[in-house]
Amino acid sequence: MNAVLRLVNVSKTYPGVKALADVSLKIYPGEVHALMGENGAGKSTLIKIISGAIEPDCGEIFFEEVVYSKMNPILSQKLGIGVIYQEFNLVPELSVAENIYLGKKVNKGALLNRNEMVSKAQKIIDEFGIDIDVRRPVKELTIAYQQLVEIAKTLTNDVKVLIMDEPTAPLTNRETEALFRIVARLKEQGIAIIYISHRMEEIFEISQKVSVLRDGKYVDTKKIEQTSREDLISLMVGRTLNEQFPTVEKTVGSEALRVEGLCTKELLRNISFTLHEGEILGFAGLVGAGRTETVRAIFGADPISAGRIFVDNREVKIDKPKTGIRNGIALIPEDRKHQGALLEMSIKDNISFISVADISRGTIIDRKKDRNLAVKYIDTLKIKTPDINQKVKNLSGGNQQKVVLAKSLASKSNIIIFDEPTRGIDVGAKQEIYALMNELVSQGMAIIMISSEMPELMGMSDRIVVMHEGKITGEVSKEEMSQEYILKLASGYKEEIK
Amino acid sequence: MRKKEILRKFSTLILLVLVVVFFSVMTDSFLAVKNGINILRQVSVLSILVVGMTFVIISGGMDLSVGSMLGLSGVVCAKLITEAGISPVLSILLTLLIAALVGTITGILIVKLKVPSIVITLGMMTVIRGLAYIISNGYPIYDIPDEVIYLGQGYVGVVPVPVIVMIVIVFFANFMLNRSYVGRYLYAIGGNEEAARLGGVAVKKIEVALYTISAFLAGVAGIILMARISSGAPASGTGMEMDTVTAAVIGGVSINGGKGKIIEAFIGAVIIGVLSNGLTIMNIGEYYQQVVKGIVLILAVAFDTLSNKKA
Repeated sequence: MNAVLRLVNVSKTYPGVKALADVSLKIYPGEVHALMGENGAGKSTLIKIISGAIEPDCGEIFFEEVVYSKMNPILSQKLGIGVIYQEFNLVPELSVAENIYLGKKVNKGALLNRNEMVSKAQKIIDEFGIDIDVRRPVKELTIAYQQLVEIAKTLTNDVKVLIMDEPTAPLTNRETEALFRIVARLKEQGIAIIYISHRMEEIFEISQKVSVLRDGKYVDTKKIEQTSREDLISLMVGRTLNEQFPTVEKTVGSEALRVEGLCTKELLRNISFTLHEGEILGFAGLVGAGRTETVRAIFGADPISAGRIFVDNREVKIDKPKTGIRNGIALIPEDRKHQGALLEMSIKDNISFISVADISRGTIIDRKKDRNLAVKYIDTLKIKTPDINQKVKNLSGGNQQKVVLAKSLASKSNIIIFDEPTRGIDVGAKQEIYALMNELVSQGMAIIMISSEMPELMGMSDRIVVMHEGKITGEVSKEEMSQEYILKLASGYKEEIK
Repeated sequence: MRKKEILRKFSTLILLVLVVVFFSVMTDSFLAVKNGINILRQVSVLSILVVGMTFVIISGGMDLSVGSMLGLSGVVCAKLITEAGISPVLSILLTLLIAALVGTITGILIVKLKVPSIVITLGMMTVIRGLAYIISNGYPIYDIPDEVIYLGQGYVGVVPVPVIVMIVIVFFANFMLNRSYVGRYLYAIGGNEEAARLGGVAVKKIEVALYTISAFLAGVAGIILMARISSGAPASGTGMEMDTVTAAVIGGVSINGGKGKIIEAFIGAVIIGVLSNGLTIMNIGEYYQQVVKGIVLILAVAFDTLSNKKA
């Protein structure tokens, strides 16, 4: 049997990052082909190239043995490539049937043939073996059913390859089972399914083959019966630690922060840990494990439903960022553009932003102190700018990140939380940020670091707390650290290990 | 590049100069000190409203209730003086307190209901106007005492009292926005509310305060307007909220929030005043004036958008 989809030496480079390098892959009809890899391994880039959302720099795409140098969204749809993204493309106010046939002709003359559309849509939905009235508006459906509508939408196109990007992430266990039945049915119809997931159990349950990407490179494709969890994990993380992490002598001091039984309404369950002065505590976990939610709750950005927080052995009540800041906590958020930088404001106004009330007499800002603060941090953090009045939006990503750091450092905090501090910045700036973190702990500050880059996290942290689905599944000391071990904990295998 | 930067920085001022030069050339009587003072007096009520509106828009909001507040505060103040027999000074203070209180309610509604401010203030606009009619029974209230009339019609030397009030408010507000940290918070809230919150800003409190200030200033403007027309008229200030937004936008205040300056918004108000004054001198009717004002607004915004894109 011939492959329905074949990628040959596909590459894609973004400025400063090789997102995909020479990836080749064969997808056969009637198989569920899982695609695995850590965050940033290149999975998203790959599916975007297949669907035509982005163009590869080089390489060829064979679809039913016809060669294409690149796809585009219209062409890929016409050929029969469908993608179910994590974010749905549905119009909530319209009915299920209208959504399924959105942008497609079901015409009788100039008018929409509503009856035909409804009966056709109902047929597709019925084939799924589920009970939805297609005349109901989409907004009334659960997430799981909305996802099925998305799938039904792609099926009206006579789809041959269906790509599913973490489809089970928002689903409950029972909903997941229903989805798997549908996937199995599609597979029997000869549709090839590219299935992206972080969840090992699922991969072994539904896929026949699994391909692993790592750092934008194709690693291997295995038949599911010829591999194991351990095998896949080592394929995913098998890189050598080639980044250099400055090692410093650390003296761990007294307790800076203690969290006991922290819960939030949505995700977090019973989070407890301690952080000491002069220590970097890493947080590992997959996307959605609750790392960001944990630090946001501690900082006061999101409400806590239960639990206690102690700063310097003193219980504190933190209900808003302002009280977090007052208790000496600084959060450098993961989403720089939306939560960190004030892009339309100047570097100076950004740097002094959190501490601006402290450098004011009454409510009037002391302009000299304001200026000096900016000059000081531009100097210490080596922010490259001709002018302290430059708007932050005109800076490069790395320099923007430094401004965000400066803003938090200037607030004189003792506990500094770095959430993905090096995401999207170049290697040089990364090194500077590592050096800065080490400098801060040597001054006796306590640092929490969240990172999805394992080598970075292991290189920098003294201890690593691992999370999975809102719970802590383990704490790893420097001596115990290995990528395999941490990834196992991050996948939720608490019991098997100890 | 350098030239373009200067052009952008002073675009509002340049527009004002152009308009002034135009009317000076086209008419004989426009360019005179007396007319200049006259224009400033004409824009004093508008300018005071623009100050409050600029604060609100910079923080990413909108206040459509200021026109109605103008009417309500005039009526309330006139009623307190003429019928309740309260002393003028106390009446004015009470009126300002009531105006501020209504603004606080508006602010709390916006913050608590999480409904866009444009919708809440649209509702408040109707409510407040209705109250003005109820309190006055729909008729203007006359017999305002002379010491109050002085606020709208009096002079200190050659300078009209409303102009003095306006200048004090504009300069104080401009100073606070530029130099106080609360001013910086406003820009942050309008530019990136979540980042402001994470930076420790009490966003909701500040928003409530802003609508309070806006209503308070509308109260001040309403009392001046009442004094100028010698009566508390329930219909006065109808449609003023739109002139106020127009002036702010001509003055470069971004409707998306995060950008703008008090002094430039003030110049925007003066431009509107100059247009009315100059076109009237040229014998161009009110209907045509509306068309011209609308076109100037669009031109000002177009210029701002285009020059921003290039940079």
